[in-house]
Amino acid sequence: MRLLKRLAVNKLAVIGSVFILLFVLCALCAPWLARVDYGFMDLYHTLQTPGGGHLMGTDAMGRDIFSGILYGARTSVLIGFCVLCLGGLLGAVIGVLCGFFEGKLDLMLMRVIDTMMAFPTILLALLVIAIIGPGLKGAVAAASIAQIPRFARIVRSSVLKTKKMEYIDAYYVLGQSKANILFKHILPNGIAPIIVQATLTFGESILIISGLGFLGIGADPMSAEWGAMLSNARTYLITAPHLAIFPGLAIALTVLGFNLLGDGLRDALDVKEN
Amino acid sequence: MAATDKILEVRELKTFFFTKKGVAKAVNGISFDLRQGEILGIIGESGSGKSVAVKSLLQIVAKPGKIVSGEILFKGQNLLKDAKAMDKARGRDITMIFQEPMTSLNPVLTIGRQMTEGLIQHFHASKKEAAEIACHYLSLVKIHNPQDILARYPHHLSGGMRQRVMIAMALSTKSSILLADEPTTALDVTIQQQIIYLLKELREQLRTSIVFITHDMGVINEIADHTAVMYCGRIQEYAATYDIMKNPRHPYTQALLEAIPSIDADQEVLRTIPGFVPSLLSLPPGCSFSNRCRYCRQICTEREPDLTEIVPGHQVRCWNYAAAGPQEG
Amino acid sequence: MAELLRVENLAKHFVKEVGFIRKSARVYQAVNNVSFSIKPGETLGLVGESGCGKSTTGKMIVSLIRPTAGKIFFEGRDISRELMGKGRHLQLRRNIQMIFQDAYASLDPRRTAGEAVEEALAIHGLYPDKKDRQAYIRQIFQDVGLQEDQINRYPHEFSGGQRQRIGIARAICLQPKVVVCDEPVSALDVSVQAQIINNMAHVQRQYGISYLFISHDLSVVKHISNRVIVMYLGYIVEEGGKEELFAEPLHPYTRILVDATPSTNPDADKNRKPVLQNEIDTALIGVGCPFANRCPQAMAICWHTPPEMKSFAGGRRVMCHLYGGDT
Repeated sequence: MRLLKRLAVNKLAVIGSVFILLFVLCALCAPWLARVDYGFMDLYHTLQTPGGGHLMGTDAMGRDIFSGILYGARTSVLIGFCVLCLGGLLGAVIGVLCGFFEGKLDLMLMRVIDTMMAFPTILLALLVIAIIGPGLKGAVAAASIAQIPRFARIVRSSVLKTKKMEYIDAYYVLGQSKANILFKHILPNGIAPIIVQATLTFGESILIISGLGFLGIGADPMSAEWGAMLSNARTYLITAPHLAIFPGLAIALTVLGFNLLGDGLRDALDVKEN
Repeated sequence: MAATDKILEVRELKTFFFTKKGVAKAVNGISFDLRQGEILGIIGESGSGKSVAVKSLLQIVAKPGKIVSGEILFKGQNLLKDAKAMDKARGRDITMIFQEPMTSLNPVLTIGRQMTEGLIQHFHASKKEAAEIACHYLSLVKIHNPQDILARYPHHLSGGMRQRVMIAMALSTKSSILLADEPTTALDVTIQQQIIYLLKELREQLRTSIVFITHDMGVINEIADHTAVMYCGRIQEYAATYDIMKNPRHPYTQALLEAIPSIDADQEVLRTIPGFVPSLLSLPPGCSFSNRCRYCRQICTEREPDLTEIVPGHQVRCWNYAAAGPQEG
Repeated sequence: MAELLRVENLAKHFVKEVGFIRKSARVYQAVNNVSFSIKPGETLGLVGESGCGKSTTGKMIVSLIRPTAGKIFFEGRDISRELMGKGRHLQLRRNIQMIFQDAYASLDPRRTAGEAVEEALAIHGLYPDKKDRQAYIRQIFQDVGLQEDQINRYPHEFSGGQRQRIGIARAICLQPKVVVCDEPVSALDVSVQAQIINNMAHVQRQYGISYLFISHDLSVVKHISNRVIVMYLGYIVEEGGKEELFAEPLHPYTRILVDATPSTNPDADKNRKPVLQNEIDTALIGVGCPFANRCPQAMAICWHTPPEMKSFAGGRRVMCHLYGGDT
């Protein structure tokens, strides 16, 4: 597609895509690439620096960090999808309702959205966790809720913008039903900014969940999740920095990758509109 | 009004656009003279190169466009070779007005601020002096309450008023040449009439020369003393406007005039020009109009004709006339 | 001859709320008391400058905008209530269509030219059989001057004039009786304008369509119309057959419009002075003649009494105190 060509020109987007590819590969091939299960605690070889049988060393409980990274990638992929499905979809539906119908419905819903946006993400997440309780489920719920307003706004503005196009008028004059106009003409043409937001959301959700995990209220600190790994590494920052470096790098590179891809997509799709 | 000295001489100006798909010869060797107090009309459809030509005179062509060769002689100096002279002339001796006054006026600055900015910069006038000059020119363009207008913002004014402000701004530096790029295209026809009349009056009063670009043959007839018809980057016909309208020689000019519904005459069916304007990246060999011309002959598809003067003051670029008169280069 | 479409006292007022704390409503009277009719097969030109309400009038006829007041009759039937309703009124949509000014904007960039026409047919359940449908589409494309191999191309692959042809194809494939043309050639080059105008005339003869041709370009309107209506500030100021109206305009505004239209006649008087003064004054609406502040022949009465429409023989009408009013 022309879109891929245009994307390929943007070097940063290509780099970002490479990171994401690596990330996905890790997630998919975890069972084959990992030498040992993350749960296996080799208590004779705790806090080992990278080398020997452990590519990235071991942590305080003798768990292989490399397999932690790999299985953590799986967790992150799952998280990303869940957040996108829950938060993204819900936000998108709200956005479509507001943008398409406008009027009082729009006003009411947007005020709710505005209220949600007024809270800093972490605060919102803490609120949700306080209600649902700590753990990965709560963290995913929190991250999803944090994404709802963002999606709602973007989808709403996209629908509003596309609605104003003259071809929407034209199809209305031809007698097309409002539902068909929405699904056949407004959504397909307004999808660009939504795709961009989806990519960014994927990265953001990983960041949020990792952050919550780091605070200790996210995923189970024993599970393979980058934020939890980072949290466990706190005590050993000076003595065994590799405990923190690898999960930290994994988070940073993955989120960066999604951001670069998202930006690249935004530019590539913008040009297309021109 | 007798034509006097030449104030601008353009020789073989070429401006090309270097794109990924190839080189588009937007302006492919145009030459003309502009005398003091003369209004020269340049007419062409989209892709003719008229806008690029005028932007080349001010050397404000955007990338990937580049002036490749030619001479632009202003008061004896070649502006293409002398960057200092160009900087001095631009915005002062040679000014420009555009089609959409809303986008050429800064929406967040008052009219007064914008008009005086140029004067203060070019002439080191004080704010008070600049404001007085601005008022003077605003009244020249028939704005009755110049003091009021100086304090207003562009969005307070109608399209016609904004265009008048643009003209006042362009003339306030006592410019000798005013370049007008489709200045009335976006205006209502009654406002257009007023602007055209105003420009002609200002020409009489200030002896400013005007290069007026448009796609509207009617407007050219109303305002221009001489007309150059452009097609695919070249001047195809040049003559006094009266002669062009009365006796168009080039087949393209003739076809254009026949394609326009006229307010005075009655036509059953409008005569159309078959085919499309060729892409500037792939012009037909020989005469660029050959693939649409009803008088096309063998030679038209092989060699491009030169602009030749067939009667004094009337130049045509067409093989159908080449034999009839002294050849020119 | 029976009227095909008739509008009576059509009006549209847009209300804009201004002010932050103390809200006041500013009413923008786009169309005021507009009445006219179109016969089968004729072209009615609607001409005027920006802000005169011609576009709004056209949009009300195709129900893109709901009228504030007035009635619309189609084939003798009052369709105003139907148009006000929320239904799709498919039957009406089949008979009254529209061609837009910006052809590129009026086409879905993700649909091919053929798909655009197909969707129009599908909406009304026409030509359910695929083969018949494709044959019909080919014929329509031929009628508007497009090639068969262009059916599967996307809008961005066409030139401006060709895109307008797609717009025309999409509008006429339903074989409507009335097509509202909103400045269909204003955005096109001169040589292309001529092609499209000729094509529209051809299509009209072929399918027996009536046009409401909206434009600000008097020359174009004069060429294509049978009768012409001149609008100013939402009012109809003059109506007549095109020959009489342009040969002898009655309303001072019409005269100014005709005079201001640039002519390619080399012997035309190029030194005639523009007589139009001042700017549009909307405060005159409802108070006096909307043209009073700019009219070179304004009288005292024009400022405080709205003029009435005066009818003459042959469908001529004028709204001006110079001619008195109908009793």
